Amino acid sequence: MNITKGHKHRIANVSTLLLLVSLIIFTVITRVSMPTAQASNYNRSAAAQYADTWAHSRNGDYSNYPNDCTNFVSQVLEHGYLPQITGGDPNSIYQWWAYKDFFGSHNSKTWSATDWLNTHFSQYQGTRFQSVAYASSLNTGDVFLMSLPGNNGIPSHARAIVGTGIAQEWINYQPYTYGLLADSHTTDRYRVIWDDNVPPGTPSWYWHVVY
Amino acid sequence: MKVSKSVFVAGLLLVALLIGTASMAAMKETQEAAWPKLQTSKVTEPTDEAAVRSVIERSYDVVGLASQTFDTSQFPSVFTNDRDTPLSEEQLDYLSKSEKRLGKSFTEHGWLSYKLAFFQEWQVGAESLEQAEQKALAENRTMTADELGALHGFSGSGSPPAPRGSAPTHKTTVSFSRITLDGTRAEVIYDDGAVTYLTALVKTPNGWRIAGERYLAYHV
Repeated sequence: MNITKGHKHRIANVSTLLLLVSLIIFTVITRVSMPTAQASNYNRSAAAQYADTWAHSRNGDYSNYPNDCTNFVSQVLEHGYLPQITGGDPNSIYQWWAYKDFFGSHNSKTWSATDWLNTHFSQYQGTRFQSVAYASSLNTGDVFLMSLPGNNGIPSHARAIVGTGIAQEWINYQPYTYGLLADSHTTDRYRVIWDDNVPPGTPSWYWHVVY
Repeated sequence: MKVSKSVFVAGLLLVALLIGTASMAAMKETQEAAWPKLQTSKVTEPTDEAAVRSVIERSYDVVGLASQTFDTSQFPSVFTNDRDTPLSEEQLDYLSKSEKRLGKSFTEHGWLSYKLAFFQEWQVGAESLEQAEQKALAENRTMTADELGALHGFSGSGSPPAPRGSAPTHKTTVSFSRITLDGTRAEVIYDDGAVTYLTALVKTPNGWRIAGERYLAYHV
């Protein structure tokens, strides 16, 4: 067992190389494991199913923010197979992406900040999203954004539309009211009427996915 | 001996940290809650408490209607400008910028002016959005990204304008957790299911009016 200095150097080099290769393989695997553009049409029921599954919990594949509403809505869109728009610039209003690697979860600002997402949507008006004037024009898998009191008209909260049916949770509505339903994070909501407990006079934006 | 020295130093650091945190919190409170301190004992009329509740509840109807019609003529019946109830720094900043965007100036920078500016900006944005939608509809198409991008940015943000509000589909229930009355002033903590508010009210010759609003918690 006579190990010379040269041997030691070679062993160290090989170990470093192996570590680097493992890191690259791990990064590629974890990034590939995130849903990517696989279909040409938005799958609304898949989006709603994801929203319902994770309405009251957190998916470890993504960051978890104290104000998680927009991050959650982005996840819902992605799981409806709306492809990410990558590019690596977290501050670009044209990009919209998230991934997890060895170092943790990463995402663009458009992915997790409501006002950024709203601005991003408007950049793809007509190609991926369509601004509509009324909530009644929203379908399963669409998005509802609002500016809550105290935010000076800046979008600050997001909900994902999950279909029409009987509400499973309620705050200001009567129990089991029938209507357009939404899920959300931050204060987690599962199948509430889309505007339940949204104060009157709250500026809102309604985005229909057209991808 | 070494251990006790370390414990002493750690203790000193902890005390310093506590004092620092407390003074920072106090400073923040001084900056944000620059409203008059109220005494609870000066209840002038027994009907005041009911009137205070009533004006807060009515403000929801007034604001809800304004979001659909942009008619703000009822705002002075629920909101007021009060020199002793200053806007927060953020609200004041919004109002100043809003004046520039609207090309007008309010004589008083209080809560009524803030609410008026907010709804006037919303109106400008929503109406320009409606015009662009009508134009696209007339041409049998949907609005383009360029058309949407060219519209007046709502409240100075990069966001497109918000459409006008719809008729409320449910009644907002307000629950009051604290009402402090002091002659012609009141401070109320209440919750509408989405936000917990700290609201300042003043009694004007025309009745109680909301003079300021702070946000204690969000749970929408």
